[in-house]
Amino acid sequence: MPLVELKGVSKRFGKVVASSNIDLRIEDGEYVTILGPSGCGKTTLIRMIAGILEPSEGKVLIGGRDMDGVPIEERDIGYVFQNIALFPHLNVLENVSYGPIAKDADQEEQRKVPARYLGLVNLLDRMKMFPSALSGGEQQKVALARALASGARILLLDEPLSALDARVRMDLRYELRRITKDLGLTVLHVTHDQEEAMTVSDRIVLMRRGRIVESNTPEMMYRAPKELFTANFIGETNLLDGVVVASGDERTLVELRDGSVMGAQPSQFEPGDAVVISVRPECVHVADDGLSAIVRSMSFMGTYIRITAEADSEDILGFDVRVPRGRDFNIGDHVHLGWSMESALVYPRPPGGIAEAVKLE
Amino acid sequence: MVLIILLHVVFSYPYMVRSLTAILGGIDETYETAGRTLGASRLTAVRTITLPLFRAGLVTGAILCFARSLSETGGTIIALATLYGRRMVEGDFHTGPTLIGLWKDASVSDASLLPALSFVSILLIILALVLLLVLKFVIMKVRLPMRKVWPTPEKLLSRGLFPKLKDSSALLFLFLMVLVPSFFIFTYVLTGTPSQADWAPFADALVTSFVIASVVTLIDLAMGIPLALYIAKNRSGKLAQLLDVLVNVPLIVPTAALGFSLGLFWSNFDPNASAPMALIILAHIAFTYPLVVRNVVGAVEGIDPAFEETARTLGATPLQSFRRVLFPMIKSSILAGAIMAFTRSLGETGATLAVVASANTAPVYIVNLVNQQSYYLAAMACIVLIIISYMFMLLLRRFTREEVV
Repeated sequence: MPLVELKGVSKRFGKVVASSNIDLRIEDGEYVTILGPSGCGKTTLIRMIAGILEPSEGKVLIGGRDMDGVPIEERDIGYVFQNIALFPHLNVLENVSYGPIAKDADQEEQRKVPARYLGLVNLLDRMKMFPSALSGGEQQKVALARALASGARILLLDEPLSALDARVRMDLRYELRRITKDLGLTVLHVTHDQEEAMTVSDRIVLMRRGRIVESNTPEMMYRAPKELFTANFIGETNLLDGVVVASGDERTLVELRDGSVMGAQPSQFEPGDAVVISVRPECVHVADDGLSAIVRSMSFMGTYIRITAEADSEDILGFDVRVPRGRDFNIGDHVHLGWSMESALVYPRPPGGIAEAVKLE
Repeated sequence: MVLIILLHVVFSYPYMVRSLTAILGGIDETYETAGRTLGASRLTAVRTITLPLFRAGLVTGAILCFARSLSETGGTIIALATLYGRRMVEGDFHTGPTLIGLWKDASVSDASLLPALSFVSILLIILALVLLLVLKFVIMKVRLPMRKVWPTPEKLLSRGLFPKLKDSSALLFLFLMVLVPSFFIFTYVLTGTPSQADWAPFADALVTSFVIASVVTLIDLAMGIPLALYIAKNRSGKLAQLLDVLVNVPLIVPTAALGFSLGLFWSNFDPNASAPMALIILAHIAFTYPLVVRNVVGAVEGIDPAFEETARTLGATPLQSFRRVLFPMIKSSILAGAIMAFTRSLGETGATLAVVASANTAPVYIVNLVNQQSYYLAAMACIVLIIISYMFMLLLRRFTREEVV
């Protein structure tokens, strides 16, 4: 039984369409991230699930029950806010106890439950402190404990990590997944950070301009994106304009603008079709022959060096080289670039051009 | 007594509503939403989260209401005189300020009243301060019952008819208690019998009032903005904090008592009251000055100092960065403060009477008309004043609406 279900949900603010005809099912115990650039309508979506906003059209179902007219407090959801929103006039323990008290749980539970969840986020020793005395990471952990202590089976996380420092963000990410999986909760996590989405979720729902672009497991979203926008938004990729010259069961051959012919995964295209090839930087390598290019810049990235080269086809390509070998390159060097056919994906060339198709807003 | 309470409710009601609206606008509404996602009904969330957070606003509103009621002279005199149908005398029902007004008037011929007058004034000032401290203490210390929740009744009260009932009763209160009595005067003039009107003295009084209010406002601006800047920029300094508190004192102390005190003070320099206008202006500055300072302090504090700092890094001198960067941003607040000071000066009766008993400003003129039972003329004069104030009110709204950043 799907725990959360959206059926044809739309939300308009005046003339602005924040969500447009969204269908989505989230299974019991699933950890789903809603990913997308700022302003794509992802926060609007979970606010409608929480009941903070009412959809203009369509239905929100939780546990099979239509939520139309059901107020926030009766939806049995926990919500963690981007701006944390701990009650400033209550200390940590009082904050976490708020849910059990508001639901008028018995005395025993009012005492035990908050302590259990504070223990879960390792903040028992901060119990008597006020939110302003805690670091950002600790505050968000308290907010998480507060949401969990209310006993909700569904957790809605609204960019829970974006107000925190990079390092704290990384640690808390794993913490989030560990705790929610241990408790068997259903989680909807909204973020604009694709790396965060990749590392925490069972499934990613990618949104753009109020619509769902694509939804799949993190691995499939990265390795076999169905849309050009997905290929560009999740991870990094090189996009090359070309025309199909041959298509078959084992490969597609595409002619680039300088006339060189490169291989890619098999596809349904016919010779003559205008296409875009997507190939990730870590899959591009230097070869004896292939696409001819000139090294334009190099950046040291730790375990590898990212080299940016300008090909004769006027495409700019990034590729990664292991550090010891990277030393052999210099700016201005002439190189030949190649990739294995299965690492390159082919998409129809968008009518509005590549830039428009991958634009974040 | 009941009438006076009702009257004062009319005067002080807007202060409470304004203070609460201001603070409610400042509270992040995610707190209440957060409470509700944790299972609290709307009423529970308001009671346990929003109310404790806007306690400060309640205090401000209560203090302003209290001060306004304690200070109110003109309206009270008029209401009482209308009620008795004659000029007020000793032995009638009095509030502190009306008594001061009466005795001050009488003290011109009977100097023995002066000590009693001082006593009442001092009593009013001390009582005001003590009561305010108590009020502040009570509101800040008494905690609302937070641990206890009554889910079923509170849920019931958050739903259906009850919120509507609450809203409509609040609206009804606004109309029946505040708006209808305030504007009843219009129907009175329309239905009453016109009497022979002599407009010259009223026009005279009106001009006097305008001159006083204009001069007062100009002086307030010239002196208030630098102080406001000092307070806003040296927030952490002890002196600035002290000044911030001191500036508010004239707002809280009853204006009649304040006026009497000011009258005594300034009459040391001008024993014959040879320049009553100057005395009135000085008195009015005392209680309008804080309005300008407070508005400007609030505005400056709301603006990120980074704007001015950026201007400085781009090579502007401190004066340039004020004139070109800060001033345009706080202009609307300065105007708002100026208009508030102006209208406050225009409407003040108690302090004016306490400084110069024979003063000739518009509100005093109206009080005198009522004392002579020239109700029709008084009503007409009131309408003129109401229209003028309303126009200023519209101006004020426009300037505050235009607020950017």
